Parts: sequence; structure tokens; C-alpha cells
Amino acid sequence: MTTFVSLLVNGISQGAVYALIALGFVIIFKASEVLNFAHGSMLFVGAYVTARLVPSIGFAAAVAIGVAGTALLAVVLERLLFSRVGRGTGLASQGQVAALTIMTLGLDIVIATDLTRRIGSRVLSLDQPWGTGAFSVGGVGLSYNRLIAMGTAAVLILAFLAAFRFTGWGVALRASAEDAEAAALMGIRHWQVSALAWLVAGGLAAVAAVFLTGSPTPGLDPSIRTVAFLAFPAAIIGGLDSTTGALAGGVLVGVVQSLIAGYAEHLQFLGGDFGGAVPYVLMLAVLLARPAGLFGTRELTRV
Amino acid sequence: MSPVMAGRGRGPRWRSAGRVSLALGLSVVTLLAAACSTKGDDDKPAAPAASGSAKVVKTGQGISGTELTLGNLNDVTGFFAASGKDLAIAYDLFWKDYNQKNGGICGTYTVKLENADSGYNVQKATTAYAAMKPKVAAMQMVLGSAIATALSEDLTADDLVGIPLAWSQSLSDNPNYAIVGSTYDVESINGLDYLLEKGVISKGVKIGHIYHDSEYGINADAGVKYWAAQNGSQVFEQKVGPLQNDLSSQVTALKGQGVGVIAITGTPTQTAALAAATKTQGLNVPLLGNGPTYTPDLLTGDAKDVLLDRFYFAGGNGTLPTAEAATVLAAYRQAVGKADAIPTPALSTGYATATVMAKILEAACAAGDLTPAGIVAAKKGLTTLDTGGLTGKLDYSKPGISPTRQSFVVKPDATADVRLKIVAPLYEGPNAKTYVRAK
Repeated sequence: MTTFVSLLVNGISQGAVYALIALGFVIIFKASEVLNFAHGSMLFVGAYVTARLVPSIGFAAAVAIGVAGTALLAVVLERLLFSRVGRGTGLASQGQVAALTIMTLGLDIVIATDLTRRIGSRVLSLDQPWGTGAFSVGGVGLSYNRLIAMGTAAVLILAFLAAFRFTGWGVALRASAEDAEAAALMGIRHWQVSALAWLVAGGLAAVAAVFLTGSPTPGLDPSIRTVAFLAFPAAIIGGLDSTTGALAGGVLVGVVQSLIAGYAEHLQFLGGDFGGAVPYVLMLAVLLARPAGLFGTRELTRV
Repeated sequence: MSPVMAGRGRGPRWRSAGRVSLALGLSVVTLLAAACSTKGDDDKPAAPAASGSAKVVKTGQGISGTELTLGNLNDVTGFFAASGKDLAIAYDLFWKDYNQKNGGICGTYTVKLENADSGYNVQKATTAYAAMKPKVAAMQMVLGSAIATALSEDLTADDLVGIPLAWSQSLSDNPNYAIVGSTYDVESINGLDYLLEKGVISKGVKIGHIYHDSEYGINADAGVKYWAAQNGSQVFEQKVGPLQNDLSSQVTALKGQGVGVIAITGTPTQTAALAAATKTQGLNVPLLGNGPTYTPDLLTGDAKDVLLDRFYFAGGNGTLPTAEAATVLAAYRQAVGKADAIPTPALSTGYATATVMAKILEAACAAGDLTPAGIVAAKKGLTTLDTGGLTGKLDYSKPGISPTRQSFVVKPDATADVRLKIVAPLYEGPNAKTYVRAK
């Protein structure tokens, strides 16, 4: 039982971080219909900038610059991608969206290659002030890093959901996602909505990176980028256009992954390291049952 | 492993080595080579060597005039770039010194290196090999399990000796490959033998093994299982991918199973992740790494305390602290242009590799045949190749088994020049002695 609870707690804490990443992914999709495959690189940039600045300016300032820098980078990428699209309105046709999505894949490879070269074989520490400490209740251990990650993720996600509902930007984003052209005709500046979405997503990625590189993960190395590839199925599972879905998908992926890894010895028939494939298997299963994901909007077409 | 070594058969491991006293090896090599050289015969390139006889040394591909070319298939841009750069420095320092002190191989042939970068990519490596093979007398280095395995048949077809920087037992099946040190399975057994001998673990201990589902991990797992069978232990396996840097779930499961020691065959980052996860879960058991599971960089990270306290490492190459170690370290620091640079264990691995290459070439010289085929024949005939402590005594006459059963057992050390200390040099445990490879 202790093992089960430990695995569950670990999965939820990991899933909270996935949810932050998936949320950014979903926001970008809602605002611009682009699947941002450079999201992993944004995590990487956030963590790298923070790690490099920590020794000279301290953790808090380094994180602030890391988050701001990544958010800014995301906006620059957005402008770079969209400035030539739709005569400056940022409204891309379906074909253009596909091209832009592929471009994000290219950007991801370029950014990651450069950062990988810079890091080499080192594992950089972000020197989180809460360190590597952990607490244990009834044999169930959790690092402070993961505990703080859960709290932060909860606060940020709630704040975002509130902003989404109650602020002008939130309404504009939802309107744009519903019908971009109609929203534009109503005076909503699509490019502003889109730029702000990328800004928020970049910031969320950098925050997630701070926790992803903390205990029990040993620090920053190039593999951080691959975590984003777990958040993609999380976003799809939840429903690509649903912010609540991103949260549910993230936690679900974290928990299932943890349980599969923890009970691997009973699942030898699956061939050992099955944990890595689980998010995708889960995604396929969910999509077969609910093609729009758990919370996604079903597309209704009049025939 | 391109960076990240997807699926890659884990490759190279930077053998742990202690203080970089490679120079000890150097001096031994120097003495031996001197015994086999023809002093003052510089103007008669083909008149050679061995035991003072006047026989002519046969030369072929890879030798032009008085220059002998060796191939290096390195990784200086991929996942092992940091180690690859240290390897390149090691080879340069070694051969510069060797050429200067001995006049090259046979006292005649100055060794020149033909380098190519694979980026730890099998395709690139295959292309680079095809381009370099007509120019070389032997391949001093083929870096990485996946690449070494891919090129295995080519080396046989081309009749070239190659040194794989990968220690999977399957590579020893090819008599053209000269593995420098003990294979992964032997390392695991030696590591567990050492822990048992020192009372760190006891017979019947439950063993957790976290490993890559690749040749690297599976080979080490064979060793762990053998040891467990001999000592009444049970093994709980956890397979992980090379990019998995959160091992909490695996450690939670192993804790539930009541393991008393955890062996890891993964990346250095995963060693740190394992250390952190055991701390979080309050599982204070000894940790044992083999293969490329340790680099000095780990002691700058958060896992430092745990690693210093209860991490042990069993590897196939090592060097002994001697007075010359300082000279080599100084040369290294000058080469990288940083006065306090800490080399990766690849520096000593490079020295061990070059030393073995030199010995094989000198044996071929002594036999009067420095053609690629002659070098292969010489390699196969070496039964007690002694590198002067850089690695265990090597027997290359029996394909299919580890060329040595000796490993180095080391522990991280925050104060040592290379951030580790050897606790048992050239260690051969009782189970490693009797180990027979499972069919």
C-alpha cells in the first residue's frame, strides 16, 4: 500500500509539471492553431538561462530573468513565424498552419542543438533554495521540490483559468479560438492575442523547467527537452483546445507513467521499459473512445 | 548516443581511472618499445626491429615511407563530445611522446592519426570509416557499442584490428576487436564481489538493477544475475530509457521489494538521479555503477553527498597514482588551456587505448609483419598484454570472453585531482574468477 501511495503521489507531482507544459501548448494552439513543437526548447532555454545566471545573481533574480527571457523568446518566435502570414493579421490558412507547425519543429532542433553543444556532458544545477530535501509521511517520501511544484502549478493554473474567464485577453483569446475571422471583424487584434498567448506559454515553460531540474532529477541536461514530448500526449488526451483538459491530461500521464514504472516487474510481458511508451498508448486509447480528447470541443459539422 | 542516445547501445564508458598517472603506462611502453627498436637506423626505414635480427619488416596499407597511420572514429560533436575531446588529447599527448622517445613504432614509423567525427551516429560513422579505411594500418578507436557493432563485419572483411570504446561482451566475439579492459558483465560481478568482501552487502542481499534495455545494460545484467545465482540473491530489474532522468518510481518499487543494494548501468545523469531518488525515498543502500555511469561533473551537482557517501564504481581501465601523473595532468591542462581543468575519465581511457595499440603494433613489428593482416595476427597472439597497470592483463587469444577479469573499483572523491580514488586496483573477485558467460 505504501508503495502504491508513493507511486501515486510521485505521479501526481510529476503530472502537475506536465500540466504546466501542456497548458502552454494548449494556449498556443488556441490562439494560433499551431502545434508548437519548439515547446521543449523553450523549457530548455528557460532552464539554461536560469542555470547560467544563478551563480552570479542568485536564484530568485535568475528565475525572474529566465522566465522573462523565455517568454520574450516565445514572442520573438511567434513574430518570426507569423509576421509574413495573412498580410500581417496573423490569420493563417490551414496550409500555412501546417507549414508553421513544421517550422516550430525546425526551430526546436536548431535551439536544442545549440544548447546541447553549450552544455556538453555537464549537468547544470539551478541551485533551488529548497535543495534536495524531502519529507516523509508514513513511508511515503516526496521531495520539497515536487511539493512546491504542485503548489506553484496549482496557483498558476488557477490564475490562468481565472484570467481566461475574466480578463479582456481571455475573452479575446476564446473568441479568436472560436472563430478567428469573426473575432477580427469585431475588432479583436488577432496578432496581439496570439503574441500574448506565446508570451504566457513561454513563461509557463520556464517555470516548469525550474521544477523539472530540481530533486529528484539531478539538474539540467539536454534530456529536459524530451519531457515536452510527454506533455504533447497529455495535451491531446485532455483535448487540444481545452485548458482544463491540459491539467487533467498532465496529471493522468504522470500518474499512469509512475504506476507502470513502479509495477514494471509484473508487466514484464510488455518488455521492460514500457513507461516511456505509456503516454502515447494512453493517448491512442483515449482518442479511440473520444476523438476530441477528454475535454476537447467536438467538432460539429452540418451536412 | 547521439546525444542522447536513443536506443543506442550504450557505448563508451570513461573508465574510471584514478589519478591520471598514465605516464606510468607510458614509461612501461617506452621501455618495451625501446627494447624492440633499432636505434640509429633511421635511414633504413624498412629494416627493423625485433631482436636485433636483420629481417625486413613487411609493410602495407597505412604505412607510407616512415609514417604509420592509425584511424580514430571519435565523437566530438555528439553525446560523448566532452569525453571525445579528452580522448583526442590523450592520443595526441601519447603519440607525440611515443614518437619522440622511441622514434615511433619499430623505432622507425612515426605514428600519425587520421581522425573522423561520427557525432555518435552510426550512419556517419559508417561513411567516415569507408573513407578512412584505405589509409590506415589499424583502427585505434571505434567509439560506441552501436557503431562498433555496426562496423564489426567490415573490420573482419577489411582485415583490420580495431579497438572498440565499448565494453559489451558480444564485441569480444570478433577476433579483430581488442577490448581494452573487462566487459560490462565482469565489471558488475567485480563490483558486487568487492562490496561483499568489504561487508558493505551480505550474501543473499536483494539486488535492484536499473539498466538500459540495450547491449550495454543487458550485458551488465547478465553479470548481476550470475552473481545473484552464486550468492543466493534475488535480482529485481528495472529497465529504463537513456533519457529518463527521474527514477523516483523505479526506486519506490525497489524500496517496496526490500533491496539492499542498487546497481545501475545507465548514464552519469541517471546515477545522480538514482542518488537523489534514494535520498527522497529514504532508501539508504549502497549504489554500484559500471560502464559510463560516473563523471567528475556529478560532484558539482545536488547528488554530491549521496555519491560521496555510498556510491561505488567498477570499471575496466584505471591508472595508478604515480609521480608522473602530475606531468600528464599538467600537459592536459596546457592542452585545454585551463589551469584547473578536471579531465574526464576518458583521458586515462585514451592512454590505455593508445598503450594497447602501441603494444599490438610492436608485437607485429617483432613478428616482422606490419601489414594490416600481420597486425591482426599479432593481436590474436597476445596472451598477457601488460599495460603497466592502466588496465588488467589482457588475453586476446580467446575470442568470446572478456580479455581480463580484473576491474578497478573506485569511489568519488571531492578532493582528488580527477574527483575519484581507486579503492581496489586491478581487482578480481572470486565470482569474477569463476564466471562463465551464459549461453
